[in-house]
Amino acid sequence: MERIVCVLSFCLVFLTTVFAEDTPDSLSVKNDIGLSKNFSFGLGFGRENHHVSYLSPLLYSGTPVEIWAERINRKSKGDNDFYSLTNLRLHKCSLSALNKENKMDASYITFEYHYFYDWKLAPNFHMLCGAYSGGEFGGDMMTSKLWVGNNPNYLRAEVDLLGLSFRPTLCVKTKRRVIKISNQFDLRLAGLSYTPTYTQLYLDGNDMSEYIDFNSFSEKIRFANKFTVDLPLRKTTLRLGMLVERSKSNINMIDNRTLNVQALVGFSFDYLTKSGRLNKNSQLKTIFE
Amino acid sequence: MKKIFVGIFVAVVSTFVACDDDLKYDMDTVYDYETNFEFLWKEFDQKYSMFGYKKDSIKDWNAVHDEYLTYVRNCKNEVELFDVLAAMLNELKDGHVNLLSSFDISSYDFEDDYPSDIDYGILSNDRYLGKNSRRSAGFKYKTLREGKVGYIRYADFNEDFTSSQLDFILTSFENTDGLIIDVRSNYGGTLINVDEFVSHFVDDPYIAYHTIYKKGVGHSDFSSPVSNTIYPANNGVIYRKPVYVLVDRGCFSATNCFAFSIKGLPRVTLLGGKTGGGAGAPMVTELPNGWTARFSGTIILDKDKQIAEFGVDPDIELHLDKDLAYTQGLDNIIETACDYIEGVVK
Repeated sequence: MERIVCVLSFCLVFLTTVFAEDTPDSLSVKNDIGLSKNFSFGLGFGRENHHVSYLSPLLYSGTPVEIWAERINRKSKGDNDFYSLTNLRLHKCSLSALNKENKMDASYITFEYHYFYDWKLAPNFHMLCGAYSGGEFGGDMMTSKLWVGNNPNYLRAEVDLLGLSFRPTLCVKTKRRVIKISNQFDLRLAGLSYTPTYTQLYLDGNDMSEYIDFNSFSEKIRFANKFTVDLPLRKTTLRLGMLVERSKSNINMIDNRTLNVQALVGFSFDYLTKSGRLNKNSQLKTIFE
Repeated sequence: MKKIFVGIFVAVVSTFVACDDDLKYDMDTVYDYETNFEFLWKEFDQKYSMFGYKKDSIKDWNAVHDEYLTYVRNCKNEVELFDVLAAMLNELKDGHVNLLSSFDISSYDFEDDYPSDIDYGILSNDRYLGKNSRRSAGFKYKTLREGKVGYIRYADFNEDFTSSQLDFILTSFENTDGLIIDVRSNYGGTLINVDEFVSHFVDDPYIAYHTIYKKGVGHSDFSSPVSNTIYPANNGVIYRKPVYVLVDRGCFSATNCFAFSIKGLPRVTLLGGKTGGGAGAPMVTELPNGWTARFSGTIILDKDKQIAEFGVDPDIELHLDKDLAYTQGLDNIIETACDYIEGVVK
């Protein structure tokens, strides 16, 4: 069911953005502001499937809770607009397998930096295309009603050196407000992973080079699709969305898989950077204008 | 351009839909006896590290499969299944191998057929650790023979300690003629504590042991050895007088590693019985029904790259004299070590 929902949502937004057409009723408003930024934050919750063969051959499932924050900066160079996006996530999930005997706690911090070029396909449609890099640090800890002995933990440190990132954004004008619909898609291309090898133990780690693995797209597939809608209310903007994240790797003989589907709820603010004030200028609806 | 986007879209959607069915079990298969048996057998077949080393001393693992599968098919309840699986794992003759359920824990008795070389009642006599002994971290210590012999009892390598704690103990022994380190029936713990302990008895850095670990599912798929160097304790006390390390069959795992790491160092003598072995660091896996199994996932080689899975021979073999213990309350192994230090015996 989770997969069907995420695929449908992805389809909807993707097709909407790809086949968007220019309208004479443009939303763009000419202004002299060279920089602007958007800040949003909120919570995520949903369902996660997780498998780490280092700890268990079984598939674990649980309900993740996440705190996220995102900041977008716009930089204009002539007629070209560039956007940098910084994303920080704190993730926590308690999972169990079908047998319910043992538990796995997954906790990690994710940091990403994206840089986009704004490919203006239409005045109300911004196809942000770019790249990203970032990192994920955390671990999975097995707890059991049984005694489990040594090494029930799997520490994770991964650096995404390079990934592709797309963020088509559609600004839909209503009577007095602009609704911003975005769908950010990230695809990892290459990175570094800190991981033991098959039956290697962390306690043996004298030669740390054994733990570091450079991996390409084929060794680790990771993509994320984040669909968000910014709904302006009277004095603030509500952000609703859905995140679907999938990663699958087989590095150092350790099979690692995650499927994470989350609903996102938060708030979004557009700032005028020069003044540092909140967006009170009625002409500036979003950072795209 | 639209075709490219649609192509990417199709690829992404297909990956989303690609699922983890190979990992899923339903409620029938999770508790199915044969499923759990096959699963456990395969996990060990692919991850257990000692098959190559033990090929002449244990049954062929494929033959074990065929033999025990018939037993599993006759199991009537989960207790019987547990006993069959435990018996199968005991064929590996490995103290690091356990099967754990909510109602029992199986283990291989590596001390079987060996004499017990320690008597805790005698150790707690005033002559040894009764009165006037001190305690720091996992150490109990005092001086014997009117202050001429230092004595440290360390019963568990899981008991962490700091270098300064050991410095204090060794400093308190500066007027002794020698030291006894008693690790009898110490069933192991953390290798970090082994390194820390040994570092107070070495003059120069040396490679104490090597670790190899599995890099594939084959019985011989191992990494190249990763050496572990022990350095003299940094700004710590180095004890430079004769040291007698008391060992017995109960010295297992990290204690076994301690024995072969410290054996052969200048001034160090191993006294007692052959150690229990256990030269593979343990890992844990889970069965579909939630039981867990523990097994050796790596192999630790000594400084000469030899495996000490079945134990380390002492420099001087000596076993507990039970008559002497019961009639006079004396531990002849400690007494002999004291005699060596005092020069009574040469």
